[in-house]
Amino acid sequence: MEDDLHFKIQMQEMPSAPSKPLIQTSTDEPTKLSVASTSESIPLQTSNYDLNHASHPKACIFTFLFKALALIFYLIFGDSIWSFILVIIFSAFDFWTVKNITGRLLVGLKWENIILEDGSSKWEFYSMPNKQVNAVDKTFFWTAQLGFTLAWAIFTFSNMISFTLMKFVIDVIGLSLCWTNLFGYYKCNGDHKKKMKDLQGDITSKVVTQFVGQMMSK
Amino acid sequence: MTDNHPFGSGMFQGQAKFVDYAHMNQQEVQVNTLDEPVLDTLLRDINMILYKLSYVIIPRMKETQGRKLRNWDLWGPLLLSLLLAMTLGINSNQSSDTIFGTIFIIMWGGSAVITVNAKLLGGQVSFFQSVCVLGYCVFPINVAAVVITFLQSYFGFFLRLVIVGVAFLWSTFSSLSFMSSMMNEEKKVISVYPIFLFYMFLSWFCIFI
Repeated sequence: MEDDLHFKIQMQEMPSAPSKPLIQTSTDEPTKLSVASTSESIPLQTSNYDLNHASHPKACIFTFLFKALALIFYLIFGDSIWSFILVIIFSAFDFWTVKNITGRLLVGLKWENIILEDGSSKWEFYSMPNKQVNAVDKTFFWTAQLGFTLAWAIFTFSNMISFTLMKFVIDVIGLSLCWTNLFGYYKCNGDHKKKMKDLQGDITSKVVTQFVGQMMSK
Repeated sequence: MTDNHPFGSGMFQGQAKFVDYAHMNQQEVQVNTLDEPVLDTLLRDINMILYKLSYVIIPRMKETQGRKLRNWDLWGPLLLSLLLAMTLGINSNQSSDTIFGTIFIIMWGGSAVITVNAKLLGGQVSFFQSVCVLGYCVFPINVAAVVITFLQSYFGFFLRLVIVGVAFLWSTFSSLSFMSSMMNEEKKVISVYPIFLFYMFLSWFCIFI
């Protein structure tokens, strides 16, 4: 009888283990069953751009700010050296901010490019599986990233055809920085979804096993 | 990221509670940094930049201490190239636009060429890592340029030559200790020679522009 009780207590403790962020390559204890669902589509209603409902309004603003400044100075100064300097500086600030701060806060994802011992590089993606992502945050982030990458791409192609070298170089720099972030986060998102799917499958099978075990012990 | 103390041992201490990164593996460190306050991220990156600068100032030949250099970042080369180009543009006869463009292209193009050369010779070094190190090692030349520009009236030509010469040797030596460790024995000279030329070219600009 004592053993039975002990066994039951153990079984009750398992499903409510404290939630821990999932480490990428190891199979961890099951986290909470209620997993946040992150839908892929970007809703176009204006209510999704309402800063009052965002959980990190400053991060939302900064996501747009540096990219917008880079593009604005590019349009103002056009072909001169000042445009070159300012676009590079603001694009670099934007890249760092989005990769290290805004991306983390708004969508809870992070990508890294690690250099290994032999000099080769490896992409790694980190995320927290039980994180609830605010819809407004998500909209701001993805809209900004997609929109500005598209804008730079358009400029690049139009300057490729009418080949103005300086403008083309600036476009390529702006495009490559925006695109790298977009690509990194897109891959990270895909990886995150795959992890969630695996996790749900894992949890389901574990719960079923426990339940069966409990039934059999009675 | 590959190392154990992201910011605890740097010059700026984070204000968050201390998390024992030393006993975590790399993935755990990364996941823990997903939730950290913004100031921590900023301080950690600033410490990394400062560490690399200190590596340039006091070059260390031991490979183990160079491991932190593997976390490359291009902030250093960017800021240093901007600073160098602006400094040299102040006192020169030519238009500052031309000088700026020239210095920028030489620095970034030169780093790229040296890296491609090293990779083609079979060196096991990543592109950005090498560009990062070469860019950071421009720091002594930068210092020399600033000194010369702002104290120009006090220096005769010979003294300028000496200052820039010292800076040039310093830069070359700093980057050598990193680059030569990546290459085979017999190809070391041929991959190191372009670095020598690169810094000589930049130093030449400091004196004669």
